[in-house]
Amino acid sequence: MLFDKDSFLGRLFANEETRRIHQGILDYLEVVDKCLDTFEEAVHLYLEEGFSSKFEDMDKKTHSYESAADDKRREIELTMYGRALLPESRGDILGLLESYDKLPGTSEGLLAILLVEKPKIPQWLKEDFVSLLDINRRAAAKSKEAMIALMEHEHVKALTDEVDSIESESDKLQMAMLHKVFDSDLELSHKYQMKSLISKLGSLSDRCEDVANRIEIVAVKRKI
Amino acid sequence: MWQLSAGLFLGWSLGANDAANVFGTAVASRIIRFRTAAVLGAIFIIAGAYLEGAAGMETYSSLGHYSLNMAFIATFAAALTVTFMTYLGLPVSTSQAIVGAMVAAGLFSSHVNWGSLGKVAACWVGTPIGAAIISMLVYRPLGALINRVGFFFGRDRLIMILLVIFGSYGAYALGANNVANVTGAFVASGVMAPQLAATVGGIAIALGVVSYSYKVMMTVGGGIVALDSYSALVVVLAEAITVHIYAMVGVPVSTSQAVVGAVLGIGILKGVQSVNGSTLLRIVLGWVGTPLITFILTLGTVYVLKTMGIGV
Repeated sequence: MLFDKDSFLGRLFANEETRRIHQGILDYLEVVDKCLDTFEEAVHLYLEEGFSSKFEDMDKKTHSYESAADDKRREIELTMYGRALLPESRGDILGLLESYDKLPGTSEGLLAILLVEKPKIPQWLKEDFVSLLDINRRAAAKSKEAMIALMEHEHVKALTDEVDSIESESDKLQMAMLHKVFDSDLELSHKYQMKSLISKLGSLSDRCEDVANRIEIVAVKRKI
Repeated sequence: MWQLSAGLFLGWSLGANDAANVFGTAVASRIIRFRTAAVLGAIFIIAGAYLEGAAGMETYSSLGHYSLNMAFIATFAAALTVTFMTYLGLPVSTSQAIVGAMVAAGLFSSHVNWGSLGKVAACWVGTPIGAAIISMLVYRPLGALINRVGFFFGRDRLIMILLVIFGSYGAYALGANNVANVTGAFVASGVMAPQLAATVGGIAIALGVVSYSYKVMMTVGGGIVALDSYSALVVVLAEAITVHIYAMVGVPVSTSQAVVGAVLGIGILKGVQSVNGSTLLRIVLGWVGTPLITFILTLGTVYVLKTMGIGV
C-alpha cells in the first residue's frame, strides 16, 4: 500500500471537505443504525404486547430517526457539490446513500402496516418473526461494515459475500414461514396478511443485498 | 512593429482554444476553479515558451525567409483561418494553419526548404500515433501506483492533484511547442530574436487562456470526462509528454490531435472502439485541409497585393 488513511500522506491528502464527507457518511450510518434499532425494538414490542401506545411512541421515534437520516444524507449531498471528489465518486456515493436509504424507508413502511392494519400474529409464528428480525439486523450490520470498509480500505468482498449469504438465510426462513402460514388453518385473508408482513420484513435483507451489490460494483469500478 | 499584431491575435486564439486540452478535464469536472486553471496555465505556458520555445522558431526559420510584411500576411491568414474554422466548429490546428501560410510566403520570397517541411509533416502524423503509444505505456503502471492508495478519498485526491500537476506540465509543453506558431514567422523574417519572440508569443497565448478559454474548456473537458477521471488523467499526461517531445525536436504540433491519439491508445488497451472513422477523417482534414486553406489564402493575398503594385 502506498499510503493509508491514517498515515502522514493520508492525512495530508484528505482535505477538510473530504473529511467532512467521510464524517458525514459515518454519522449517517449511525443514525440509520439507531433507526433500525428502534424499529427492531418496536417489532419486538408488537410481537410481545400487540398494538399499544408504547408501540406508537416507538413508531414515532423510528420515523424521527428516518427523517434525521434524510437530513444527514442531504447534508452530504450538498457538501459533495464542492470540489472534494471526482465526478464519478460523487455519483457512486450518491447512489450508495440512495440505496442505503431504503433500509430506514422499508422499516418505516413495515411499522406503518403494523400501525394501520394491527395484524394478529399467531403465537406459533412469533419465534420465526424474531429470527427474521435478527437475520435482518445482521445483514444491515454487515452492510454498514462494508460501507465503512469501502471508504477506509476498499477490501469489501468478504463482507459483501457475508451479506449475500445472510440474505439467502432470510429467503429460506421466509419460505419456511410461508409454508407454515399456508399449511395452517388461518382464514385465507389472514394468511395473505401474514404473507405480506413476512415479505415486507424479509425485503429488508433484500435491500441490504442491494447495498452490498452496489458497494461491490463501486469497489471493482475503482480498481484501475 | 504593427505587423506583430497578427501574431498576438493568433496567440490569443491559440490560448483560448488549446488550454482546454490541458485543463479542460479539471475545470469541467469542477476539480479546480477556472481562475486557478487560467493562472496556472498562463504561468506555465509563458515558462515553456521562454525556456524551450526557441527550437520551434528555428525550425520555422528553416522553412524559408521573407519580409516582415510577408510574415504579417502569413500569420494573419493563419489567424483568420483558425478563427473562422473554430467559429464553424470545424477541426483546426494552429500549427498546421501557420505552416501552410509560411510555405506560401516562402514560395513568393526565396525558397521553401522541402526537407524541413517533410520533417514537420512527419511529426504531424507522428503526434496522434506517439500519444497513443505513450498513453498505452503509461496507463497500467500509473494505475497500479494509484491502486496502492488504500482509501477512497485518498485515491480521489491523488488523481485530482495529479490532474493539476499534469495539466500544468501540459501547459508548459503547450507553451514550449506552440509558441513558434505565434511569432515564428517574425523570427523567419529576421525582425525578432527567437528568445524575445518566444516570450512575446507566450504572453499572447497566456492572454487567450485567461480571457477566453472557459467555454472551450467546458465543452472539450466535458467530452474527455465522459471517459472517466483516471483515463482523462492519462490522456492529459500522454498529450503533455508527446507535445513536449516535439517541442524538444522543434516541431510545433496539434495538441488536439495528441488528445485524440491518447484516447485512442486507451481504447486499444481496453479493447474498445473509442475513435470512429469520422474522427480519423477530421484528423486527416486537419493535416491536409487546414494548411491548404492558409496556403491558398496567403498565396491569393500576396498575388492580389503584388498585382496592385503594393510591395510585400
